[in-house]
Amino acid sequence: MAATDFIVIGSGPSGAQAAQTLVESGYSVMMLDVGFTDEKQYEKQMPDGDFTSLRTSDKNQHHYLLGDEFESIQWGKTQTGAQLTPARRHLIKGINVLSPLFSKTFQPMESFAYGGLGAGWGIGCCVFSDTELEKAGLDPSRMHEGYETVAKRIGITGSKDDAQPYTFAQLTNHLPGHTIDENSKSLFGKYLKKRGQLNKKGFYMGKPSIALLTKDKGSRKATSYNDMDFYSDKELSAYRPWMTIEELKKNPNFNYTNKQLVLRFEENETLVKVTTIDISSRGEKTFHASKLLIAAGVMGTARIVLRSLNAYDTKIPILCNEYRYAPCIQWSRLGKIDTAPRNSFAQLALFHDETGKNEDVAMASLYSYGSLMLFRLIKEAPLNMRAAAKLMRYLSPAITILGIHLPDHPSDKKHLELVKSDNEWSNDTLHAEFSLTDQETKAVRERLSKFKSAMGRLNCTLLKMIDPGHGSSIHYAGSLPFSDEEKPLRLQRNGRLSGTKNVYVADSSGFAYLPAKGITFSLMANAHNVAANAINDKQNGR
Amino acid sequence: MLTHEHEANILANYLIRKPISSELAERYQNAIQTVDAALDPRELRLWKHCLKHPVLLSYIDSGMALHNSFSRIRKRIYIMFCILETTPDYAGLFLPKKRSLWYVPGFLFDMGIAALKGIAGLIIIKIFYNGRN
Repeated sequence: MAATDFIVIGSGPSGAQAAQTLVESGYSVMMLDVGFTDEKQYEKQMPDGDFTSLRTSDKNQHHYLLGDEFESIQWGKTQTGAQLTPARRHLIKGINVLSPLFSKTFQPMESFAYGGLGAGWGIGCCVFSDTELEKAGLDPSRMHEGYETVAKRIGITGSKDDAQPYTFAQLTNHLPGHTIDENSKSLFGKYLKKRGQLNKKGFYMGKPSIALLTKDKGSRKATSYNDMDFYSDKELSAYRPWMTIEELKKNPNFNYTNKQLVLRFEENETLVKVTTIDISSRGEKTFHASKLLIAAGVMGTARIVLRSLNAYDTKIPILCNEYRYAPCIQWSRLGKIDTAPRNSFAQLALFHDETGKNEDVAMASLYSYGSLMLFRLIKEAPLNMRAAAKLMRYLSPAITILGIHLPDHPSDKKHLELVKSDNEWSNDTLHAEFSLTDQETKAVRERLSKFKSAMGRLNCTLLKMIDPGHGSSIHYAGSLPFSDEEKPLRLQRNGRLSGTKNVYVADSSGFAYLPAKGITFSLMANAHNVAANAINDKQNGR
Repeated sequence: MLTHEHEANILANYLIRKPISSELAERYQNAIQTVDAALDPRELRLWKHCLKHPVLLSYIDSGMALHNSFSRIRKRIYIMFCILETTPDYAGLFLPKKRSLWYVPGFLFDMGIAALKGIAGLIIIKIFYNGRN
């Protein structure tokens, strides 16, 4: 088989952006991906209309709200991915079988979906500060270029408010800010009244920057605020990586090959050989390219790299933001209903910047409780279901859900290790160990308590701080940290895997520190840069 | 012997005080077969008792919310809840409604009753389980 210029592994946010950069530069690119899609095509069953009107009119709503196999009925302790709607359940399809992970302390979410975890991403786009970028091992000036490029490609909103330094910062490529719902407007009004007090405590609130079109962009339409965002991408207004890949498929230089579970790579002088298992035929296949870009997500990339380098039983680090979610009640909203059009994404963002230096910032995304239905809430109340429904129906218009992310630093209590096993696909299992040091536990507790107090100042009572466990933030990094030295299992600053000539890692595996602001926009910017670096190396015969 | 259709109707009546169509009863039956909602022998005895005396349902549901909130008994009630909430004829019973301050006293009274039912339900469950052991 003829070698292609580049092979990209993975169709998630990193893979999609890296591939676009390569294809736009005129190179031939093959993308290898498992690429599960929503086979039941729930989206096609959804009529046009906003969430509330569909609820009262569409007799077939149970198909896409509950699922034909009742996928939305999740009972028991909340697990990572439990909130996925039926149309997004394919995000976690095949994970336990194709890439098993053993851990008693870490339950991450991985994906073999077309578009990767980006198919269910909350579309938040934050720019890391220069200090955060440097701590992560990223070049701030290159990353700013990357942010601009990606923002121009995908379209992100930006609002000039107190949160701007933490959201889109100085980005020039941004769209007008999106409209927020009444619940959030009321909360933001309270913030503006108490802004001085809150700023003194290091809290800053504003609208998040999100990858949502507020103006038409090519075939993608501006959001109609129909509140169906958790169920459907029909309007194409919220960016998903598969949209980039669909565009790339129109280019003869791009070849998307799905159903391929990548096992390993091998290098010779001039080529990289990639071995996969075709998940349909179960047969091994090989593909060749001049250069390889791995963007399989941190755990997926770790498996491929450790297996390829025969580095079994070797511990490598892992970073993951601590995550909590907390329902809060804004008492002044009780008994009021919001009939204005809205989107389902985070309405506001609250940043905690204790030092005022935009470093080690913690972030809460604030969601109103709309289109996720009462049935996801009632099981949390210690009441009978009838009373719980009455309670939640009354409270829901006043509920704001905080999704709090905290920054993460490396420690020897957080690591991954590939261990040989009898797994039928790869003969190995990734083991993970993740726990916090006493100092980290104390810092987390203090940070969360400050968020609770800040919400109290906004007359918003935090009902419960729910800890879904380590791994639930879905933000992972740091397994192959950047290094200036050619050390094993490290990435060079340009993304090349140490000890290899033509293998690059384009996801967040290299980030040596994980800011809390939401990693997706940064990993897309980094992927664009890694692709540009690989092109540069190719052009210079390296 | 109680059929799943009968069970579905009892649960719907408990949750929304309305009868349901045979289509919804069938959906309930499909759901409890698709998602794992099988009861262990002890739960099954209690469940049968509840279905024979539906007045007990709110007490057992309340008690279970405190005793074992993720019990299979509650799961069955929850499944019916999910089905009802995703049926347009009943959506109005689940969507938020504008309420005045006058709503609050009645609401608090109902919540107080629910809490008391929880305590009573706990006692019933303890007696039932201990008596059968």
